[in-house]
Amino acid sequence: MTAVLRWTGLGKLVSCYRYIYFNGPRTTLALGMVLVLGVGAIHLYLLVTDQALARGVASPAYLDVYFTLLFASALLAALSMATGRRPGWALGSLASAATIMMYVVSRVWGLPDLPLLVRWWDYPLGTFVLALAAMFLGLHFSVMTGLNVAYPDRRDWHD
Amino acid sequence: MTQLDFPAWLRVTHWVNVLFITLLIRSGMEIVATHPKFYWRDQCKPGTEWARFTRKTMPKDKLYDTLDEEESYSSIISLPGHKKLGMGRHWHFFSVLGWILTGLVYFILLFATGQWHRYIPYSWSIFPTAWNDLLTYLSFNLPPLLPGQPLDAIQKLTYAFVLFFLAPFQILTGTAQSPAIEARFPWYVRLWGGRQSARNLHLFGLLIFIGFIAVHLVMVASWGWGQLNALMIFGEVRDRGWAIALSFVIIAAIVAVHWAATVLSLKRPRTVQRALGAVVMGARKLLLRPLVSRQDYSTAELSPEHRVNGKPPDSDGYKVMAVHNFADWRLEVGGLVEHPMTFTLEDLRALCAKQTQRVLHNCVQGWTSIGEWSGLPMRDMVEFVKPLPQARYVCFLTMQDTGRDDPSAEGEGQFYEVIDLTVARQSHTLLAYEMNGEPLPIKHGAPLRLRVENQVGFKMAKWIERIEFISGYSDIGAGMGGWREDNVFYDKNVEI
Amino acid sequence: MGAERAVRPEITVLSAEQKHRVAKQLRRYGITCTSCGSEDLDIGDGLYLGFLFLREEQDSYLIALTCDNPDCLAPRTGVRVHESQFLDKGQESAGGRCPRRAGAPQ
Repeated sequence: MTAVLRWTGLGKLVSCYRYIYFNGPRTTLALGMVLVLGVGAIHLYLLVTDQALARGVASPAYLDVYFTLLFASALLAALSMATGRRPGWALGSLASAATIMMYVVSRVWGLPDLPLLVRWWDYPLGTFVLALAAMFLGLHFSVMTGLNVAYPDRRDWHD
Repeated sequence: MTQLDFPAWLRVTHWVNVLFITLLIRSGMEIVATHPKFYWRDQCKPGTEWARFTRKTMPKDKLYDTLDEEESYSSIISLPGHKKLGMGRHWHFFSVLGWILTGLVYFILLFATGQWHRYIPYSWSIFPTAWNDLLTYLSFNLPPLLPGQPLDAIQKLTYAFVLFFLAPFQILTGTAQSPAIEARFPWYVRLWGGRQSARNLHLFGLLIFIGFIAVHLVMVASWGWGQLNALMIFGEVRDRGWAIALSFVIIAAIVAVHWAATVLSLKRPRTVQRALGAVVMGARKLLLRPLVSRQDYSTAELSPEHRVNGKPPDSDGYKVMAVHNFADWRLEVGGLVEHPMTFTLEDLRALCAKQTQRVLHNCVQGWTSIGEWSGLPMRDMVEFVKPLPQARYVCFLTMQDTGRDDPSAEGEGQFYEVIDLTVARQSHTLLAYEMNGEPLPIKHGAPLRLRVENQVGFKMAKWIERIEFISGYSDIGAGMGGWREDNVFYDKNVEI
Repeated sequence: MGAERAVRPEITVLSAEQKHRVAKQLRRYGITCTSCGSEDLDIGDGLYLGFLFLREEQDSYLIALTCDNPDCLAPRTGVRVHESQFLDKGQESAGGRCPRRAGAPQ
């Protein structure tokens, strides 16, 4: 494993990562909340305006349920994060991962009764929500690995 | 209306710019490595950083200095890497001069030839067009170019941002970190929120430039590497194969320059110091030497914990003097003077009225602290001993033996620094024996240290025991004008 | 600690009792003036070495000694002692930080 890391240059990348530390607990929390709420808001928008599919094509019921669940999870995640509860971040990551997975699955294999989604990558809102979800996952990863610290946690730097 | 094409000057300056920008980025990372901690407040209180790019932790029970905090970065990301700040600074300031010169040529020709419309929009409608372009990119498609122009709307706005905002921003935030400029124009530092805020903004600018370069390369690849490189090499779309090949040759040449700069800096640092230093010192002397401090920070702004660089002399002789409040300490002032003298601390206090200055200290590593220093103006000492006509420099010899006292500093021998006599006569040059209203602390240079407020901190010799007026310094140490100049290859005059 | 103000921020002013303990150590180890050999040494202030100086032990102090011999050429010297040899019981060194006298800015 060490040899693999060394020869692919990944080892250097990993060691670079371990040199980076930020001390912005409130900023990290705020950014996380904005990202997860962004993901949630987009799903709410898709639910309310029926914009998820082609114009004039109504979403099937299961998709509406999915949008509702996603929005609710994102909102719950944001509220939980705001009160300093770690499960909030985990829920946010779950919602983000689900977003990415559903989007990719819908474009590669399609969804039940929705073959028109296949290869429909040129959808700006879709790209945008993918980006938000990916950024949230990255942010959560950075908090878990110590690169960032999220409120109410604090750095213990004395020197 | 001028046709917005790719004239020769635009193409040449583009590639020259690539060289200088990449040299600036790598040398900038070397400067980051020397103090890889970032603060918002100028006090730089340990533990208050908003970012750290180091894994080192410092001891709680022993005095540590900022040399202990220095990191060694790889030569891949920093120029030259491996804790060579002197080299990094030389490349950074040399590249800044080259970059500004290139930029000036570019701007003059841009406006003189009418090509400025390639970046400055014709109408406000560019903004809604740019929004549409963004949506098109998010759809993984390429938007249309603006009619008769080589760019689409969002590219045009981005280039305008980089050229007219980001580049000047980096220059301005860079100059806000010059001790000479900060000293003469304290309001300029405050404009940026303080010296550390300017440092942060400079770092953000670096990150934005890196982001821009990454997106730029993706754009060039998406729109057609061959086509766009043909435009940027031949000025027209032809011989795409050759354009691709030549683009890689140019990039390889730039990489070769980087490699050579790195290897030379690591293997022949003295050569690099002399060659690049000659260029940069000339610019410093012309632009920054005349700047004299007008700082007057308030007592409320004084740093509770003024940072330390360099460790006190770890000799029994020094410690015995210290415990007796330096009653046995003597300052010898001699060399090319009419009246060589020896002073006690009480003599110095009695020599003339004490001068006090509350100033921002700028360490070469990038941290700052605000302190109040009191002591004898150096110009009064100069007048008292009366230097001979051939005296041109002043050498400050200290009680610190770097090999014994400061293992984090690379090199050995007695610490000394040389300043020009003209600098010694400037009103802000002080022999300080007090700090923040108390006798100068041991860690800050007791019993006597130098203050030169338009210079970087390493010039301000601490633990002084002798001052010598000299006609030249080539015979002292390695002949570069100071211990750090000899061993870490800094410049002798450091107004920035 | 003594009530009088120390002249330097790093100096620890010794109380009479603490000076007495130092004197005991001097007699115990036969310490005399390094210049003239006199045993009449005036005990002065202390300087905590452990924090400021790289190669000093953590609990090391330097106590100022002044030779009372008027003909001594180098009367001012010092003796290195451990804090346990002169500080009051329960009194620690300055917690790893340079000692400060009362009223010094924090």
